[in-house]
Amino acid sequence: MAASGDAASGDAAPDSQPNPADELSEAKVHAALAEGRNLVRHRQYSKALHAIMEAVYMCQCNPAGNGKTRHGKDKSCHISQCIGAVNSKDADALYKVAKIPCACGYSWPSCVRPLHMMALDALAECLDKAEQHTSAISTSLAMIRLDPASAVGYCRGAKILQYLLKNCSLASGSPVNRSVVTILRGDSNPPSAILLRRLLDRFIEHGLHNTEFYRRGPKSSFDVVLQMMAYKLKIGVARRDPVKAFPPEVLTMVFSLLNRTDISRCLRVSQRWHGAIMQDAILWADLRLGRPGNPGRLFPKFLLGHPGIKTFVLGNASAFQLTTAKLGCLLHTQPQLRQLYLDSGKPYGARQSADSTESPYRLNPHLTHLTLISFDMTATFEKLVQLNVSTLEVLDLINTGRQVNFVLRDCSLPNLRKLRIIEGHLHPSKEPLEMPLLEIGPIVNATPSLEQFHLDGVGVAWATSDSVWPSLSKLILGPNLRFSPLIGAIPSPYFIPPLSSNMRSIEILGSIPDIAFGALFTKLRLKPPYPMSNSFWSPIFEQGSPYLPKLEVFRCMAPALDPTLLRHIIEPAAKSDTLKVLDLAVVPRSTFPSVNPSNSANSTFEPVRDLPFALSENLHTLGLHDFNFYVDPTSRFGATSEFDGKPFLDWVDCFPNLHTVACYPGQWQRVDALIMQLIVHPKVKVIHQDCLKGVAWDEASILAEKHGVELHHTPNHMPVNWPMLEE
Amino acid sequence: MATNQSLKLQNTFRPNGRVFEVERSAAEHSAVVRMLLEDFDEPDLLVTIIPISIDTSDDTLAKVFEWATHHKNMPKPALDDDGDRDEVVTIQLASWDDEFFSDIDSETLYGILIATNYLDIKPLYDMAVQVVVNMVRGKSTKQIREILGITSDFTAEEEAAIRKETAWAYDGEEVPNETS
Repeated sequence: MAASGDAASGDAAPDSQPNPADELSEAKVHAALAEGRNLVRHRQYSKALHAIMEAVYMCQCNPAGNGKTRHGKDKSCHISQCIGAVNSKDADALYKVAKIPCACGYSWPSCVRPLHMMALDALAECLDKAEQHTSAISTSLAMIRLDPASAVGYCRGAKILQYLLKNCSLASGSPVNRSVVTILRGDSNPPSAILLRRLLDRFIEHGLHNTEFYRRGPKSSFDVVLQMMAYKLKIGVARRDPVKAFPPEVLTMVFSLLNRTDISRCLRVSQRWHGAIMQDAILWADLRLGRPGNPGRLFPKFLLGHPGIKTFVLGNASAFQLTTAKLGCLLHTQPQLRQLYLDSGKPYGARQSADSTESPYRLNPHLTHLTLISFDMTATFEKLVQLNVSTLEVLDLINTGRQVNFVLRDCSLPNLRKLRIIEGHLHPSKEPLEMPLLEIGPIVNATPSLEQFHLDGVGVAWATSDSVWPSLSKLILGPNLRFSPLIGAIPSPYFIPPLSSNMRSIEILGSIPDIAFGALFTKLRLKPPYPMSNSFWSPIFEQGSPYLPKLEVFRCMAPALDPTLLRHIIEPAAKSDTLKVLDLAVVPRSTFPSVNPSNSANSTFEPVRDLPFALSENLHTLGLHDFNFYVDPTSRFGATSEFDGKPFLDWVDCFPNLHTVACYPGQWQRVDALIMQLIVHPKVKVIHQDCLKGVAWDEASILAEKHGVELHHTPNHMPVNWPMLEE
Repeated sequence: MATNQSLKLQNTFRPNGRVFEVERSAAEHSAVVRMLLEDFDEPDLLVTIIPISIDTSDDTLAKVFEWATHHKNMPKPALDDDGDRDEVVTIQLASWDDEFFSDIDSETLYGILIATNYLDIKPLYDMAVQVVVNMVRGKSTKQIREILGITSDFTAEEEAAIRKETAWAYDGEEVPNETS
């Protein structure tokens, strides 16, 4: 703090003006101040005061020189006015007081020239050294009146107050104590150190506020000194406002790590915070609302304030009440919109229908992702899809009813890469109430670029069509798919076009064999009679097998594929070690002996022996459903309550890079023991199962934790990999 | 390559900035410095003083280089690695870093943020951001003001209006009533 005087001269220099006359007068001021300081050093305070006062009056803001009237000798009106402002609750009080005349009516000088300030600072320092503390404080307050945005006055005042605080004592009568009593306006006698300390804190707080809020130029060294004082005194204000301190990209980073509740609180911190958050385009570009309330008339205002929304997620619109008007407003105000996710929030079986047949929509030139959940695909949404057919890349229609057919039948979606149609709830717990029939043919025609297709909860039929999906690489057929082969003129078992050799992932999660046959053996031109799930037809299906060398994921929960057919599907990919995930249901035992006539009657299906072609070096996930390898020596078909899972363990051992298993043998006793063996298996790191219950689950969890294994309770089967926008 | 080479860096934002001599492996935490080393002749860079211009004090820069020097052997992300910003959320401060942050004041913390943002020192930047985020996360509006020493410049009516304007967007969640 001793350096403050030197810093002042350093600061003054850059502000000096080029005018030679000014330079001359400034040189005079400097000379007078130097003389004054020299006299102070030699304790000749009255002479020093005289020299410094001359310097003060030399400022160009006061051309009349000494002629200007001065405040009366008693400055108590001035001091009490300023101290009153410091102690008031208004953060701006001291600044306001500085801008008005003294309580006695005297107009204090106002000047922003650093040299003027410096001269006053020297005056205050001199008075302080001369133990005229009250006058020194009065002068530092006059400095604040001179320029309330400059930190110099606050530094000097705080320094004097700090000295008084250090030296005031219970013994009355010392110059320090007299000054303290005057400054505290006789509030306490003997002087209260606590009150003085509080005054000092408030004084610095005002200083930090005024210098920050009204600062004109870059920070001076006095600003830093004031800040340092605040730190040393541990004043709350010293913790600076990050919104003032940070560049926008740092603020964006900070805000992006806060959740919406935090953001809503931050909005009310101050005008500056409110402004910074509202203007943060990146923060609002991705707007994901869970279950928002009804914004009413605030919605248009909100949207106009954020014209750069790129992603809009409405997780549950039941309270929000998505009307045609609100949707129209969203689409009109958001030209940047890329992803739109709307969930009506209605349970399955109930959909929200649009309240109007008008379609006040416009083309959103960037809209690529559209998800609609539980909305009736009537005119409103039909229009929304049809307006944006050329840009849509991802279309998600969940529980949108049978109108899907009509919406997709007549439009062309040349850029659509990803299509999901699920009738029923997104996470089905029960069968869909109604099962609309979906004609795949027109959909194939409309989506020539489709890469990923996910279908569930509908009845499917393959209308005769020559269209293909040459780019399709991912196919998911959900557990609630039904086959309706009798629609259309020619009964046909195939409901999707022949699979190309680009396929990377096939997941058939239902248990109906016909669905699996109808999806996989589409090259077959001959139509086997219905029903087809008979091993008698295996040789015929073999002819219709797809060639899938790039297959990475193959899952089939339908007990449809005997080893011969399975070999056709996975062998090319397994041979080249491309296959990574294999998840199968075992064909019912009764059909196996007939396809493996060489095996003795007592042996049953064993994966290691029967599926040698499945050994892919890179396979990391292996699942098996509905298995029990126990063979009752006395009865080939007799009911058994015994369970043998050992062959599954042997199979697990065959894959060098395996880490995840899905174990769904079904309801057998002693399945728990198999899971326990999997947990302690050195390779297994993740287990999906749904058979452990109660105490068995608790025990297994403890064991899994001990072995660093993730044990999941995953009902029915492993979840499908279909990354969603809202996740 | 010798690892004990050092680089000289000087903050030119204010006149007479201190010249820092920083071990090369420490300075390479800064993606900006690494880009300079790639783009220019190394011998030149090892001799000349690299100017940087950051609105922060020399003491703050000293802290930044103290951190970089302590972690000089930590692997640095590739230059073209955009990085997954989500990782930030889970950052756990190691005990050394914890101590590092515990004895700096907020002025220095902010300086570190500004300096690491400029120099692109991602690990330290992420940690500093996390410290700031922790000052705000889960706090009420009033607590945020108290912690950061901010005076509200809203009238009660304005604050209520903002609350009303944004309330619909927050899960119908009851924002705790704050009396100030």
